[in-house]
Amino acid sequence: MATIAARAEPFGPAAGEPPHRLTLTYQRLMLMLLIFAGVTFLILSRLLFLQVFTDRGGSTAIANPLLPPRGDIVDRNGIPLARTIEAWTIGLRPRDVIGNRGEIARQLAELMPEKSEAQYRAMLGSDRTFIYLRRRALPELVQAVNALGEPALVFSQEPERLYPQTALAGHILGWTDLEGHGVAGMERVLEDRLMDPARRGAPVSLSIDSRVQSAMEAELAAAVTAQNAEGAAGIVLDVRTGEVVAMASAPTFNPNSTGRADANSLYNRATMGVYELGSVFKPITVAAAMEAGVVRGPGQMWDAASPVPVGRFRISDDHPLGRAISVPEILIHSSNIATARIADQMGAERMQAAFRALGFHEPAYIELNERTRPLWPSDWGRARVLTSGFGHGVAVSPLHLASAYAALVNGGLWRPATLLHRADNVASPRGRRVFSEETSNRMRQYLRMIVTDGTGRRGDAPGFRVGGKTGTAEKVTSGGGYSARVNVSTFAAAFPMDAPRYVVVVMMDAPQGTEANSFVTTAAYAAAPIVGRVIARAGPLLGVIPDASRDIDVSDIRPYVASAQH
Amino acid sequence: MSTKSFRSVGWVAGVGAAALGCYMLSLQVAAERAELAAVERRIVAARQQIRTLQTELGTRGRLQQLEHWNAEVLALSAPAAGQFVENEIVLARLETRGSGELAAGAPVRMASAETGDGPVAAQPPVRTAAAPAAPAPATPTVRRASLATPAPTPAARPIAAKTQAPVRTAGLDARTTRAIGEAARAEARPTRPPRTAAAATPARTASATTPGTSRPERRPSEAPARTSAKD
Repeated sequence: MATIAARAEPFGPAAGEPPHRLTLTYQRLMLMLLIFAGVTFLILSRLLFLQVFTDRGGSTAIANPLLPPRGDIVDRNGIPLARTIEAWTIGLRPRDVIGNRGEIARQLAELMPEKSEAQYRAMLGSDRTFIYLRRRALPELVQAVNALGEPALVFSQEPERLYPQTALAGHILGWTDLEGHGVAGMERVLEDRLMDPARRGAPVSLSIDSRVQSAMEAELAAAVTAQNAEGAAGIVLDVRTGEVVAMASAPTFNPNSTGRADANSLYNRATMGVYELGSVFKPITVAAAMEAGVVRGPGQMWDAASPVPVGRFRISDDHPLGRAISVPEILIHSSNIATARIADQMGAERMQAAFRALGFHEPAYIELNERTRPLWPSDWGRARVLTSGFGHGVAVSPLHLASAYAALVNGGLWRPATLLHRADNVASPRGRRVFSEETSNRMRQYLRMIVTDGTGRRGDAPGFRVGGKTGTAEKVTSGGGYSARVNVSTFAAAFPMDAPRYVVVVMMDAPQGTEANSFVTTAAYAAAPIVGRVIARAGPLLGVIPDASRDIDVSDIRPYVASAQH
Repeated sequence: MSTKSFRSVGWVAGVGAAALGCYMLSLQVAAERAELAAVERRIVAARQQIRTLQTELGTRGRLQQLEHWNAEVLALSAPAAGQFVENEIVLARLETRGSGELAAGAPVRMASAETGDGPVAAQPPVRTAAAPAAPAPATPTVRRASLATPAPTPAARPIAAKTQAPVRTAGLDARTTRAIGEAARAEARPTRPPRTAAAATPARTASATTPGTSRPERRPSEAPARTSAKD
């Protein structure tokens, strides 16, 4: 047995030293051990936790991918009018180019011919960080550019606003800027609603019926081309709710590429354009006079034999009748003289009140921002009162007129026009009573007779019981005067007259005499046939089935109309 | 001693097995969950694809394109008022084939097939009027009566339907008055017992005069025709 003799001093408590020093060392060691063990345990448990509880799919963290970055806009039947899609974008980082710049520029010019080779070379050589080469590129193009193999060409999918119906209802929809914010039309009006994360999942439903809108736009475009007109506007309005079923302005533009549209086509003639609309005001004047008691019955005779002198001017008729005429005859023959006499008896106060009740003194009631204040005269002298009776001196938009005609035929209630679809279970606004029920019923008969016996014959659509009034105004030229040859021809109609459902207004801006309108630019030839065609196309779509065996009863006013004229 | 050490080994093994079991279970759950997530992702992808395809379809089939085809390729125009049919009676009037066969002296079975409904049989006045006139002359009378109505072209107007009624009544009237006169004379002597089949013939043809208007309650204008036949 070997014996090791060594000094045990360092290991054992020395006699001279205090015993706690070694204990302290042990304690420190122990602490270190515990800390290490603890850290290791923490790491291990964390690893274990991660191993057990981590969802390897990792999909719960993704926000709802079906929630579009901007809400859809659909028409009243759910047909999408505006959507946000993921579109390919081709970009360029000029600093990262490694290939031959000239070669790449040549190939890019081949693939995307909208810019020249020289332009591409300049872009490749610029010192900017990033340049968009093409937004909303087709996948085939992206594939072809990718095949060039240049790392400086980058691709990404970015949300882009797409209008699947292209130019359809462009004036109503408006468009968005590159950041995806609405800058015009309903895109601008509904900006908050479309971007709200809580609500953008559900599409916004407009009151537009795209089939009717399409019919209206097609007919307007055809008419503008055929009559060589400056433009045109058309509106279909639901008389019971104030919903705008179609609102078109020609020429149209494609909101998918607003940058390429010219200013004339961006101009919405239905709400932004204010025009002196002419004789279409006559039914409004007559109805207001019936309310005021100036016109007491259909048999009341008004002198239309001689022109009415007003200051230096004389108000005369295009086709003088040379006799006293009854109230339905005033409208059927569109007599300026007799209407001026009615307006004269009404006086400035009551005429103004009638127009104000229909909102002719303020911008049209609609959601759009693109609307103009009517030209509401400041002085209401006798000449102004008399001419306003047949639609001169007060300039309003076609939408004003459509709302007014809706009030004229729907029983006398004026309602603000709206572009938002009102669900079936939501009651339409009460409206403001402008005309009495009797006046409205009487006006329906008059309007129907204008179409069956008067100037609106070409606006009839067989079986649809159309009633309406033509209006041909001389357009104010840039010089300030009226031009006899340049007209604004309007036809304001409603159908079916026995129970009015829709108002249709078509306005032709400066049509020229062509074969399409028999070389006559008045409303009877320029605007009325378009209304007839639109009603024939859109009526069945809107649930109005033509019926030749049905019509409004006009037998009680028939005796007051001399039948020699037709 | 050995049992004691084995016991500890057993403990370790037991705890290990339990831990392994728990781990396997959690792994299984995680795998299931991952699979579910993958399915959900596929659903989302499919929905997105549906949306994309719908958008593409809608863009390709946009109304302007359809309008272009309608107007320039197919040259379609809006349907006119006459092309809308209000109800089944007007629709039945569009059928022209049946009336031609009747005129050519086709078997009366055709007509009876059309009006095999209850209401016709349930009209005692007609039967009584026809019963005395049952002999031979009744059949040509019937033929003529059916000839009278198909003559106007099958117009789709209710108005046209109304104008048809007098023509028929007149035709029936002339015949029936003569038949009734005969019947009055014949009433003295007993004739053959009125058979129901013979009785049905005039009734059948009376309704056959208005092809398509099978149900009398639809046509108020038929009432006078019946009453005159009764008288």
